[in-house]
Amino acid sequence: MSPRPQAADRLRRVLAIVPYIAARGVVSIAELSEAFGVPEAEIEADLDILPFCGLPPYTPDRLIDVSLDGEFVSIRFAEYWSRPLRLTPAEGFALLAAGRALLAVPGSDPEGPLANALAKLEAALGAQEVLEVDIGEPDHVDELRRAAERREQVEIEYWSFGRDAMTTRTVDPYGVHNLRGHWYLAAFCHQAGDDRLFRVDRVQAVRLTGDHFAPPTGSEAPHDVFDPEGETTLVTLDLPADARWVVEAYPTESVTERKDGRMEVRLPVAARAWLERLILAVGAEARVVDPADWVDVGSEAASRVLARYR
Amino acid sequence: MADRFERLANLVACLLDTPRPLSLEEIVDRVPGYPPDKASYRRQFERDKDALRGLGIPVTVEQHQFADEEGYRVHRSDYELPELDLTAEERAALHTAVTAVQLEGGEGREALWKLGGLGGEEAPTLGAIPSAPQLPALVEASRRRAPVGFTYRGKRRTVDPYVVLFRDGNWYVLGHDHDAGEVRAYRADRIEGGLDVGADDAFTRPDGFDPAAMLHDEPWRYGAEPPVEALVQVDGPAAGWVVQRLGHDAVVESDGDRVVVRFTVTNREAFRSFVVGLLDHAVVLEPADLRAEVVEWLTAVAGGAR
Repeated sequence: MSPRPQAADRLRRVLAIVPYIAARGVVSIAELSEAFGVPEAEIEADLDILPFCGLPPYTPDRLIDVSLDGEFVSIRFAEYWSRPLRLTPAEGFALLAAGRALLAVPGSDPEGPLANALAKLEAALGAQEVLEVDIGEPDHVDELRRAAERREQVEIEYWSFGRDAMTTRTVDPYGVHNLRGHWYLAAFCHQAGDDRLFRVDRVQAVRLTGDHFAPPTGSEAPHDVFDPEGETTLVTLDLPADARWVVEAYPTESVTERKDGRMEVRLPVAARAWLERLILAVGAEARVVDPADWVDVGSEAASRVLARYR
Repeated sequence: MADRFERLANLVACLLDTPRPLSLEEIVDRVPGYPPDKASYRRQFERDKDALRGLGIPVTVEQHQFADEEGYRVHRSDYELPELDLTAEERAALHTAVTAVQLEGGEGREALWKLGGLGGEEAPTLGAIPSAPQLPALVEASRRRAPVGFTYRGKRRTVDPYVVLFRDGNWYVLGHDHDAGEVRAYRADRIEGGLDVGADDAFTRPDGFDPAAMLHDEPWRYGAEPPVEALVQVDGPAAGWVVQRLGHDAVVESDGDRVVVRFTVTNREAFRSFVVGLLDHAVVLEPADLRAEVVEWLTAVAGGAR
């Protein structure tokens, strides 16, 4: 027989709903629906089932008594559930991780309600200093976030890492988001004539223009990371075994391992400078197989850098 | 479903209410819904017990007072959430955090149920952070000061987990590695399989341990080589980015868009990778042997053309 998780899931919610009602005496169904984030019908179903639960010998005074007075509900004979169940490790982790992450956002109040809540939580869990979150703090995060809130157009000096080029762009900032530890600015770029996602740590300067823009219509601001560099070229590399990190670090089209331990890796490359970096990091054992006019990318870049050392 | 829900709910109530451990027979006698024959009800009870423990209900196994067998109960002191005394504002701040930061597979909503409901404004998404299956257990072990055993890159490791930290998009567990005899960092998402958790209070975190210092450690600091101070000249668009990454304290000289920054290197290979990644915007100035290593590396790559 397979386990039926629905019963356990419902029990999990009920073990939180009962103490919620107990602490308040009388509560409306609408309030419960909001506090638990489920439709009123689900709350009603939870409450319908409770009067069949209790303690032996399951006489009326031993069964949970749910009284429904119009919109309002109260509960008796469930004294053993007057407190919520302690947090599970997964629940405690979720609160601490999200809380610590938000507190790490530049501009957060280190002595505000969130910091206080986390301190109380960590004290109760005995979990002081066991979880830390660093989401980076590039110079212009707070400035861009505030500009987005005001819907103020800005001019940014942006280092396009892939192309190794500095550009000035006029953008309508929609918002600033942290994805997997990096800060991104989602914005409409007037030079590109389209929505773009910029790495905030590559923004070298921000100038406020004083002009305001209308909120984007229809679709929401872009949430996915999309490549601000544009088109990509599919490149085939012949890499040594110790360059496995390349496969782990970047999205690849295919990886073929050979008997001698070397790998043939096909991956999309946005710009020549990006590939130069990759080959200089892997070293002399890395070779470009295709396209033919990129075969010398690494050696040419190495010669160019070496010229700086003479 | 109603049957199983009722049986589970009654079982929790019964185990919480009892002042002494109850034998399996006593439980089956009190809680309706178990099958009549012993093999079946034992199996059913085992499944129920696992379901309750899966919810975090601390079902303990203790010696029965009279019968010569094991008894079960739930101690209320272990079951109940301690009073947190959160203000409405503090609870709303946690709700904001759970909605603003999307933790992959996170159970923040369920946690808030227990702290008094979801109330407060839903915040716009400010970030998304990944998770890994063993993270809650690692945090739990760190909190209890219990060593953990796990397989990492095919090798068995035993670590005293000092701290769990998120940095550069990844979760790490940092702690004293018993076999290596030093503090090591392991990526939580690369732990293979489950964790073995040892006894509580088996270690203390050393006084000088500073997770913040390790938190900001760069790749060229991950290593046990004797530390070397390196000076690197960076120019062009890369200069501003490098200063942001290293911090303004690392700047030794600044002249327009040309800066000289100081690196403390304990991993020469990682240092070299970083510097050559800046292409012709960076030159290693000192020390001479590190500079020579980079030149030699580049010369080998340049030679590939001929």
